[in-house]
Amino acid sequence: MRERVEILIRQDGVHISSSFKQETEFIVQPVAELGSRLVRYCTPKSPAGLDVLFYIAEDLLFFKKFTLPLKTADLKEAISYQLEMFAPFDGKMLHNFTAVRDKQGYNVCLYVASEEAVVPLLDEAAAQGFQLAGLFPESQRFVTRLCKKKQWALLMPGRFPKLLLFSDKKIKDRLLCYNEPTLEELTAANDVEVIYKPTAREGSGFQDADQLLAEKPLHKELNLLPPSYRRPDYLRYALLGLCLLNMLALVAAGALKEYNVLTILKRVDAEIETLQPNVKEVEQLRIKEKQLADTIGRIEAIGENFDIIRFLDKATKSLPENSYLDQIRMDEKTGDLQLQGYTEDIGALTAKLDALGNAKLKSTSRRKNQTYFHVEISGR
Amino acid sequence: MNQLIMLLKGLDRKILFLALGGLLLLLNLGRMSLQAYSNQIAEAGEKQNLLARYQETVNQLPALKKRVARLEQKSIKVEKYLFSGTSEEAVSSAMQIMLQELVTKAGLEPESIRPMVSGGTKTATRDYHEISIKIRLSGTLSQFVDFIAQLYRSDKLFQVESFTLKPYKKTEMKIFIDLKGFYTLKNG
Repeated sequence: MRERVEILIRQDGVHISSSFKQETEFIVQPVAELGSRLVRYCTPKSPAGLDVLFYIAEDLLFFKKFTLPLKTADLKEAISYQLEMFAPFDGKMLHNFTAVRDKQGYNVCLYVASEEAVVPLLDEAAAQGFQLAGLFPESQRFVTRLCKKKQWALLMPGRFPKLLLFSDKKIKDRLLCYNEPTLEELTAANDVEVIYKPTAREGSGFQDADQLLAEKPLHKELNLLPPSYRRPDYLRYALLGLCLLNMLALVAAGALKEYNVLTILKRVDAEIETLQPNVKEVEQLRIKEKQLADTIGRIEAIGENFDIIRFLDKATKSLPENSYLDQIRMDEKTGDLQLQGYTEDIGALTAKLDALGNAKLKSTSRRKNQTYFHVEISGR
Repeated sequence: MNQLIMLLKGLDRKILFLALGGLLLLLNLGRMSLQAYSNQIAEAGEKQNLLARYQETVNQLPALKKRVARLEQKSIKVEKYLFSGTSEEAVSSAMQIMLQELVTKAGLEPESIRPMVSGGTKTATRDYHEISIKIRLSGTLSQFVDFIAQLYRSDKLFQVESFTLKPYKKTEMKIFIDLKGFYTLKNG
């Protein structure tokens, strides 16, 4: 944390104070050689290592509260155009504003300072190598974290006392008082929780504003320092850089993942393409194998022929003497053999039927001294 | 919460909508990118599975080739027992000629050898077809046995479907045989 010097520009002179020195210094108007006196004040510290924060007394600032329509395209531009109309200064001006949007429009609080009264002092400090940290209205010294979520006011003494109304950390209005108002008058006229006053007398009912000065000012808005004096916002650049880096990393990670997937897909596609002829060959071979197996199976299923010669041999041997066959027939459907004939001794025939296999005597009839028989032998 | 509402109130509505639109666009882009990426991952997974199946299939190729070669050899051996010809008529004629030769060789008297075209129920080119043949013969038992022995010994497959033997002229028989002959058709 760099140490800082605070310079309050007042109507009657310039007041210098710092965080590292108890003593303060006051330079009466007209202020000359602010730079060298500032260096002296800061000795033995080097100007390069110090931040200088300028405050302008409320008496030197023009304040205006007004409303701009909601359809205003660019607030900054609109205020710049009307600045000369509003401000009572001749020549160039420094200005800054806060804008709060509500249903009616933008509530703008504008601070304007004459460049002529401020810039020479800024130049002197900058020429000595000091780093200018900001140029704020004096009231911004009192905006600290203690004012959080509060409706509060600050009564600033001066040629005309000024009542600055705040909501949380934002200024709402600045009212000029033509005499020193009492707490009761102020609280009756304004809806505020607490009113601060620098060096408030005990019993006056005002809160001592010094307790706000003990805290570090927030300096969130109303910096009137011209852009040419502002040091580059390294944090902003760093954040932007980080954001870009993150985006780049995100895109790179995505691209890398995509590349990996595409590489895998390409490799797999190439391998599939290489294997496809072999796979087709396998499919064809499987079809061929099935066809061959089916054909062979069907041919093998044709079955064996009935052994006619063995049957005839067996029948010749088995049939008893004086037995004759009229017909031997093998049935196409059942494969059974039908033997029809006649014998003199049916008893001997029936005794030998078993030798012919699974034979059944279907019928017998006796004619012309012969017994005609019909035997069925299961062929398969 | 109040602070957030205040902050939102403080913002320009146009900028708010623009930022919201931009944020939604970014979110949608992210969602679409994620969807596309997960689709690609799924596609890659499917393709890898397909590749694994292909590799497994291709690994079976040498064994499959051997099996098919064995079956082809067996098929050739089996098909040697079948007639083959370019048409049913040609095959039928070859079968008749062979049967006529066997009948003559056995000394049987042929009355008729009549092929009955079955119509070829099997249609696959590598499959076999069959022709029924009805034979009427006369001769002795030993000539019939001789014929049957020759028929069974021949290198062509005939299946005896049915037969009938009846006495004829004291020493001879009337012989009726229904056979089936098998063949394959050659192209051209």
